[in-house]
Amino acid sequence: MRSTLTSRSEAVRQRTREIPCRYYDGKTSRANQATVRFEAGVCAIRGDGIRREVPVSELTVSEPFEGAAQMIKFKSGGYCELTEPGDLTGVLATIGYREPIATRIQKNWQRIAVAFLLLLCLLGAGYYWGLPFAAEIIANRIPQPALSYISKKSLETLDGQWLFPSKLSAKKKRQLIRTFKKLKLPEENRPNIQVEFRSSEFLGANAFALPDGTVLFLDELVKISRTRNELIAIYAHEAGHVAHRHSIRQIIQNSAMAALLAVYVGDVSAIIGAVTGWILESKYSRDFERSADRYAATVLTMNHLSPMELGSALERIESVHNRKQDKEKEKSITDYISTHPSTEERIRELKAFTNKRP
Amino acid sequence: MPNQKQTSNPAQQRPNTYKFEFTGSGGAYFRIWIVNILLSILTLGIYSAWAKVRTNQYFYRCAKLDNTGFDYHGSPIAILKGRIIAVVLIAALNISQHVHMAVYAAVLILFLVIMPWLVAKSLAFRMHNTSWRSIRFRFKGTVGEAAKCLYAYGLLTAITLGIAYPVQFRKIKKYTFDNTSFGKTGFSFTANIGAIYRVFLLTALFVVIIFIGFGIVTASGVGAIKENKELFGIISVISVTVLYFGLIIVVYPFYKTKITNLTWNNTALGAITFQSTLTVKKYFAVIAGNLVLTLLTLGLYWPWAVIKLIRMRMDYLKLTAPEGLDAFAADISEEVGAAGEEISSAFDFDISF
Repeated sequence: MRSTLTSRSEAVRQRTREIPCRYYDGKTSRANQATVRFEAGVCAIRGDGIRREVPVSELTVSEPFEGAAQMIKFKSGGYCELTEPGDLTGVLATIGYREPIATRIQKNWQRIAVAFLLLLCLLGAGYYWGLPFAAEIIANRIPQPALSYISKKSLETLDGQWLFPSKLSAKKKRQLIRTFKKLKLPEENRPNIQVEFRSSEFLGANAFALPDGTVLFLDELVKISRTRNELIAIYAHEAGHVAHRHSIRQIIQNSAMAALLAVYVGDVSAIIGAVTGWILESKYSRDFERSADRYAATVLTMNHLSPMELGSALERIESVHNRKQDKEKEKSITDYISTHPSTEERIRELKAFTNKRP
Repeated sequence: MPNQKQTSNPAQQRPNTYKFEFTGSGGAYFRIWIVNILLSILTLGIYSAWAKVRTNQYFYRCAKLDNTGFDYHGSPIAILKGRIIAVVLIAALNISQHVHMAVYAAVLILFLVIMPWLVAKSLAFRMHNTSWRSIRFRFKGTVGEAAKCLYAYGLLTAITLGIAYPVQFRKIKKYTFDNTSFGKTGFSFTANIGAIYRVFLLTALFVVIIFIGFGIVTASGVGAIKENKELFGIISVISVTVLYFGLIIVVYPFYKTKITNLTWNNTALGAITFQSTLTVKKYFAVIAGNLVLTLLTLGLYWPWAVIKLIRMRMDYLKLTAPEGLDAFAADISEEVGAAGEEISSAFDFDISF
């Protein structure tokens, strides 16, 4: 790369120099050997039978690329292809051509390295803070009827497919709902929750929250819990999902992520794009679980219960799932792609919470 | 990467034969790519239209015939408008899906109605904005013909369960090439249906063989479901890998090689004929290498991969011009009656067959 100083003095020397080019007139595809010279605001083309003068204001200079010829194009048609290899920026500067920012970055590997690091930081920041922040703002603006509609639709899809009517007695259901309703919840973002019951052999001991505040309890979960307090703890956790609008935020974050990945990775392979999305989205899911755990711990403390009630409920759920899967679960790489933090970690957090607020 | 300027004049190797060459390099494209992504993110996607122009400029200008690069003239504003319209359409399609089935149906019908128009206009935009030696390409295909390609022939493909797809394929190629001209000289596509069927039948045969392999691995896995979950997991991973890599690394290069050669070898531009001599082996090597290196570098190899593929495709393409390449004349009449031009260059859509 030449320094600005030499390139400037060279430009002065080259100002009146004839630069070899191939000239195309815009009427036929004939290639004409010619020269181009910039003088007094005019671009003069000379060749065999060619005399053309174009005011500098009526020409455009193509972006310089490595491996491609520079072109000087005329608004009235035709162009010159500069056949001389090397950097013509100095010469072109004499006709008022300024390199675009992109070109100035591109020419230099050090600048590219900086651009690349900046890009990584931007992507990282967008992933860690930007997207969750934007999704929260959007989620808070989605009206309740829209949430109800989405929830109703997804429940309709799940019912009969994965979910089946609950086999719990009406009395048991009433009792549970009454217990849940009695629970004091924080005033801030106080969620409006409707509890529903379903059964699902496939999903097993589980409960989940839908965007509109519907909380589904599966029979399998109700059956395995030893105490009422464990169910209250689960309810408090799901209430956390509802209060902080986790479901809708997750939908927004995941769709945005999928759209971005489809644009940048989808070119390479749709499957790789999907897998990458799955890994990246799992962090968001784990963050929501942690947030719901903290909410549950607060609720339990408010209601004079131990946050460890949630811990024992989680342990029980995990032991049932493990028995079902028939294998020992150890901390492994799968924790990074799991939708939930490890139970061990969650219990550690809950214990820390208990110790903080005796 | 060394600048692969040509070492000898291709016209001297055989009279009137001109080779295509590609002088782009992975390193240069990587830098363009990084800057494009960075600026697109910083401008919340607006720069992506300018990024597309710069990328196309790079690829077109590095693609050379008889030492002269092609050129791309698309305006970023036109592309930005097209992208906004495309985003609105896709969003309308997605959101209406959640609103009401009737609204969704209405949007879908609207989408289907304007689809042929979008296809015709985006082909026109691309051709009108491509030039070589100051002569622009032209596309004069009508919206009605595009609708026929998409829907009439699409229906034929559907009711024959895909057996008639080569017929539709030929129609689409004819629509694309026969309506395209370079200046005043028109292209023509003349492949006969038998040759097209041969390519598709062989490709289908390959797919069947790979699915049988997939089936065998999966079937042996089914036996293991009850006894050993871990083994089942391993077997399903292997069988999906067989399917995925079989299709991507074997079938895709086969199909692309055969169909590219068939297309170019049956295309003419006036008296000019094209010769494409790609081999499946070479295509396979490039695709497999690209896939492995892109995976190993977490995607950073991508620009090199794109360049490698394009360079290979251009290296195996040449044309024979009995009267040389100097006599193409610009289609001036079209330039004067610019109304159609205005509409087709008003916005661009990234839609093609």
